[in-house]
Amino acid sequence: MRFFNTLVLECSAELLKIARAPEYIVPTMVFPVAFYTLFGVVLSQGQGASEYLLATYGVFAVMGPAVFGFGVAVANERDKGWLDLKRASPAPGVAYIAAKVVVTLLVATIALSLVYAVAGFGADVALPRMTWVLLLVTHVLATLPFILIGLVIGFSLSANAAVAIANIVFMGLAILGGLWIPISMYPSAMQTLATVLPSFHLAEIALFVSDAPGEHTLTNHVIAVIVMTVVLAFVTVAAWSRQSD
Amino acid sequence: MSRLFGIAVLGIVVYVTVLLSLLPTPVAESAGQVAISGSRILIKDVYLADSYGQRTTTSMLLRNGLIELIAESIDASADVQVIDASGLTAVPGLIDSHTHTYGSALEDALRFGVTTTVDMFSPPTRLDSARAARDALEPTVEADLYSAGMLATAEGGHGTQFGTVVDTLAEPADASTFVRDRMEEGSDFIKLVYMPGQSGLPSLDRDTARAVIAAAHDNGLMAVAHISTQRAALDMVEDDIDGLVHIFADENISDTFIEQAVTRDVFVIPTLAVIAAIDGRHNDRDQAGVERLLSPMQQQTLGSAFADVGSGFNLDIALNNVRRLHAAGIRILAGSDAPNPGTAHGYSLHEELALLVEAGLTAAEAMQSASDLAVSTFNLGKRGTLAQGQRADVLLLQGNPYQNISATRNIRYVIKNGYVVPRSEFEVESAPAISTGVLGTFDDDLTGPDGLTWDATVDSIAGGNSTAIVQRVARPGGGHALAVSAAVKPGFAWPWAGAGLGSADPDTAIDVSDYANIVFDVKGTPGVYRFLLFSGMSAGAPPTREFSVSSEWKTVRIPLTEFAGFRPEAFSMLGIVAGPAPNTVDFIIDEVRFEP
Repeated sequence: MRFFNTLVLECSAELLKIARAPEYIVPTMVFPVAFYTLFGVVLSQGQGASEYLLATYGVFAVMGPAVFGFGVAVANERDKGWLDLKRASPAPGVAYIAAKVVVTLLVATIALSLVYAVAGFGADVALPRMTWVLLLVTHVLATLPFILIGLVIGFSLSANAAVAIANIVFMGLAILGGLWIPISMYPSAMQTLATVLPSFHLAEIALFVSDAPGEHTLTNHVIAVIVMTVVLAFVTVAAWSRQSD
Repeated sequence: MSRLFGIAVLGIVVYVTVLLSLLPTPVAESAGQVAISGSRILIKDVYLADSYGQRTTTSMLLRNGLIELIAESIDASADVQVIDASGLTAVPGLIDSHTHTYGSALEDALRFGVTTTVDMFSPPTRLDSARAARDALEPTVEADLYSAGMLATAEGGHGTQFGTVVDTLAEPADASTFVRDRMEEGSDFIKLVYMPGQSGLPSLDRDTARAVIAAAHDNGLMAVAHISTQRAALDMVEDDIDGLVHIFADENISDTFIEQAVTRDVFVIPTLAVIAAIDGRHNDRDQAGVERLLSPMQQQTLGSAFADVGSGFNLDIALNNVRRLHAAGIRILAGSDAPNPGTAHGYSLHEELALLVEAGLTAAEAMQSASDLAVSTFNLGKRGTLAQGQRADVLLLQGNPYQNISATRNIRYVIKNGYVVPRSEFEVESAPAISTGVLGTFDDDLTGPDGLTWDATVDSIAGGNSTAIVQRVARPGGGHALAVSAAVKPGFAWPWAGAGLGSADPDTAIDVSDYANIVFDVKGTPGVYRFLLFSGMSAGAPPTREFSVSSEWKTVRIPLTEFAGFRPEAFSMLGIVAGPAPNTVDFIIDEVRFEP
């Protein structure tokens, strides 16, 4: 119970931070919907493009808050000694991380909702009600592996380096994972590369869930994502331990 | 401060819930109602009969040669041709499982609702194109063709009498080469002729026939046999034949045969229509209205008769044999054996269906014998049933053939590969209706309506020697009448001489079907005279009625229905004449008219 109270307090503090310094987090919410509007609606050609890109830009939308909001913020606060201070305080350190996860999920949800609104009301993407819900759940859950990536960056790098690396990782996952342009349009070497990226597999799962045009399977991609998430969890724990020493 | 988090979570949950409930969903597809675009034919409100004869009203969308959709109600987009079929019954295009493909066979078959034919021997030259055509989904005016191609027979045996080159067999060793050649030519199955013990007609011996059956089976082909006696049929059944393409009519079927047939699961295509023709017992020729659809080839084959083919073709025995086979559960398929004498492609399958019902099949079973049963037996692909994804070979009929088989003749639409077959293009152009029923008052001149004129008519146009003179004469009460002096002379089968109304144009045809009677006033040399009515291009004696004349004026009225064979939709000429007994007469006619 104490942990829960601490968690709620930590969450509230995170939200307060967003309210007081929105310039860090708002771009990660607005960036995906702007991209989707431009490439998925205004410039998209051919039937089903908006529907197809909804699934992939949804993955893109949750990546920003997770990699940027999380990784860079943790690196920043660690740089400033805030993490050391936290560990010295009576509050459990895990609550600090958990609160960041919860708030990131909330931010990701808002980012997603903006993309969905543009898709549904701007591009006339029509999905069965249940598919909308399942797609949202899929996209929100897709945040988790990216949060782990953000954590690894945050635990491993200085604030300055974290911003640079987070940018590279963010763009790399988006482009090479086929979130902006369907993977099928890439050379085969790049298509092979995509299979080691969680963004690719998450996009494929989302495409399957949204019943987007084309053939999409589920099982292999789910297995790939689970394996990658477990690996990332180990790396995260290792990074946490290393920076604690 | 902790309330901030609660408010934020609650706010986001509410926001997301509202958003999810507002996001658009696909246009609802209510049950049985589907919106369609870009299609070809929509058959609206048609009865669809199941194999029990129960009918339900439904609609059927045909596109790209297939039945795309069957639903209670289908909304048509603008580019769909809608056929309002309310009151009509949709049945699968019929399948004739015994034909020989010559001349206009495939067109003739299709015009009469036979959309697929199974040929039991014709020259193999058209097998390649037939295979391509039957797989295509394009509009066509021809029925699809599956074929045995060349048949297996002995030199000089049945099948060699038609003037085509036949690859005959002499001994069992020839069988495998024969079958291989047929496969190269594109035969769908192997047909052999087995008629042992018929005087003057060579036949495959039993060993060779057995070898042909075995060779066919070795190559994965079905083997069927032409037989004409129970003895031959039993041999073939024992030798593992798949089917018999006639029922034997030489003797009543034996229990042994039935046992063997059941054990070996053979099928039989009785071809009762051709047996009826041989036996001189056409089931019926009442296919009102279809005469106009008969091609010259159909008219010719229907009108011809078999030369003496010997005994062994008793229709009653054939019917009884089919009845017993059917009762024993043997598969019976409908086949006409057109274009043998007395039969015609397409036309005779309807006769065959009626004969099958006479032989004890229910109407629904007869329908199956010409549809799905033929498909499963000969592996004819996606046809023979009306279901989504099937080839769009559909007939729209008046009546329910699953309860009354004669309804197959009441075809309103033949649809092949999803397109309506333009049957009317084959019909004789309908004649213009006559402008007036008044044919001759003779008050002003000798002209009649619509370019017809009155003149003398004598049998010289048909080679006779009779003579006649006509002239207008004034009547005492005013006006004129037509006086005729006629001399009927022998020299022709049915001599005549008198007055006639006609035209110099031999193609004249005028529709007088609005009228029911021919009426005229007449007096003259007492005796029996004749009234002739000509329609179309008739050969032989024209439809004729007799009437009597006295020296006093009287009005004669004859119903047109009494002129047997007269076609009121194509009236061309009439004659009021004396004869056929040689005679010389004078008579006067007036006020000749058609009356309702």
